[in-house]
Amino acid sequence: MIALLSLVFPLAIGWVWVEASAALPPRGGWAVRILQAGLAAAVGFGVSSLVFLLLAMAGLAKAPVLAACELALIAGGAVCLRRAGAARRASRPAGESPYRWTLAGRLLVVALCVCSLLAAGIVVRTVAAAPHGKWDAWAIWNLRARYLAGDGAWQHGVSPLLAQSHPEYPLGTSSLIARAWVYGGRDFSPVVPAAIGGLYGLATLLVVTGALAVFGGPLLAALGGCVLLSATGWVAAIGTQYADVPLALYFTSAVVLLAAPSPLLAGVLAGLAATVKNEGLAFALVLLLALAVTRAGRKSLIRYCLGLAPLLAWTLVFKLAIAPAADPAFRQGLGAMLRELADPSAWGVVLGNLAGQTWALGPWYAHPLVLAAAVLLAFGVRERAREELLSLWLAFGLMLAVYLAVILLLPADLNWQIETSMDRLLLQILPAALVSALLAVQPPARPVPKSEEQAAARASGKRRRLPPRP
Amino acid sequence: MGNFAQDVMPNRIAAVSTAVAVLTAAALLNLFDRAGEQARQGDPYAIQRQIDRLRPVLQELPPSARVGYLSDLDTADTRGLLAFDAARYALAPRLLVPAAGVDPGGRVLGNFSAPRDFSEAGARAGLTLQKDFGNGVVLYRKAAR
Repeated sequence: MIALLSLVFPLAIGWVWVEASAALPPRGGWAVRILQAGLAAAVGFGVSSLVFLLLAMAGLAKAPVLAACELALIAGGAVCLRRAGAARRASRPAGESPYRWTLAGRLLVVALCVCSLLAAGIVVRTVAAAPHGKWDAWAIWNLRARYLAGDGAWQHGVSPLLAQSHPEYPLGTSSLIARAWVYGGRDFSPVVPAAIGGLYGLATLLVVTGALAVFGGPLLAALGGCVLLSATGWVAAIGTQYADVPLALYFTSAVVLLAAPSPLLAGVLAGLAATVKNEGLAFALVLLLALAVTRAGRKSLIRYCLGLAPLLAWTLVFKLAIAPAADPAFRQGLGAMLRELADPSAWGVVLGNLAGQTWALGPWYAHPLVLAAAVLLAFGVRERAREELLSLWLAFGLMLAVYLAVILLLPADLNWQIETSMDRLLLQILPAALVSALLAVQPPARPVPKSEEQAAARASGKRRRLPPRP
Repeated sequence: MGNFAQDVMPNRIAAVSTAVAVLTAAALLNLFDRAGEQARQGDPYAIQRQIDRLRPVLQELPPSARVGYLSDLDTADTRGLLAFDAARYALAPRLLVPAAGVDPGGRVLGNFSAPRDFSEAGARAGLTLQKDFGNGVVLYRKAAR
């Protein structure tokens, strides 16, 4: 119980630092709060896991030391918030969302709540079926969490003797689980990783719905949430305790913040993705490249790099000095790698499976990509969407290419590699891809600031009936 | 749908919104049923059973120890790898490695799938039986040089 309660600290760290970063739009009321809650989980979990890992390496991973560090981070954020608060409050014209609540919006929010409850039930049943997670969860992520939580045993988590458990993998998710276990007295309760997996899934849903609510109001937010939940492959993955679900949260958060645009925090979140899985490092670099080659992206490039740099540096230190075991893809030499990449028959197999695995992301009658396309067709696409979102779409294309290339390069049997990894790779980018597609829609109703509406009513001398308040 | 659609949104948006909500709920209901079936079948890896089976060994080994592993199941096979990975998880934070990776005098876990002469099985690998915990779980010590 204490282990689960301790997760309040990282959530509070994330909340105050996201608020202090001024990354979110100054207007939007409840919609901004939903987005902030999701981002708080991403930032807080990432920062706390990093702090824990550093303390474990220093031999200081005890509950009181951890609590002191985390409380200091909360206090530091609160001080920054207090300093920035007065100026920000003065510049914030209205707390309410500029979008009106309509009957359709309310009904869809109810539908989203029902779907979310169903999804929660699915997560609970998945965890009940395998309380310690699926194979990779207990053989890689939760195993290493046990090493990190063990008093003086953190080096076991990066030992080259863990050959089949990938000691070169980043320790972000494992560190967060270990941190909660240390608070809970090192009882290694399987409830902790299961709950953390559930929170990552919930945070992803909050980021998707919050971003769409800020951008297009409650109707679009609820639709976006339903489209995400229609990805039954993603919902089923939440309870497996795989690190692909946390990674999906970081990808989605970075993408949403680049669209906001808040490139500094987007860089931080892309950097945190690199501390979770190797694919996170690839995504951070792919985003950087996509920003560099697009006109709109170049405006965000420097601030993105500033946010990314410290965590990229930490990832490199981890890779080069702490867990230097080479990834199997790079052990075979450049010549063999080029031969694999130049094999057209292998590409044929991979591309054929890509189509099949993409179709398997959801059921045929409610496939998330089909539903997202239907929403885009129904609402229409904004005029400037292509210009604003091109860098994100380019990043997804590049990321897919990276995934396929890595599958080709790994020395294991190609069909086995595809069977055991391609669905999870697609789930990593699915929420981010869906939200970036839905950010292109024409919002259902033009936002009309209430102050302007009331001024217009006064000017016309008529008493207008205001829309119902949420 | 008539007035509702005309009052608040174009027909096509109303139709798509309704379809998205209904189809998503249907997809989730279907998955909910399947997840329930999986939950009834239980953990295919039987991890909790391995944790319970190996629990008595934990008291014999310090938390930061490196422990060797000996089994009648080949870790090159899926079944043997599953048994090794599950034992490694159950013993963590102790580090479980193949018996060859343990220094002379170090401890080695014997994890067997069927009854046999554990003492003889260990002797063939240069190990001395220390304790038999039952259920195919034994603890050896690697012979000193």
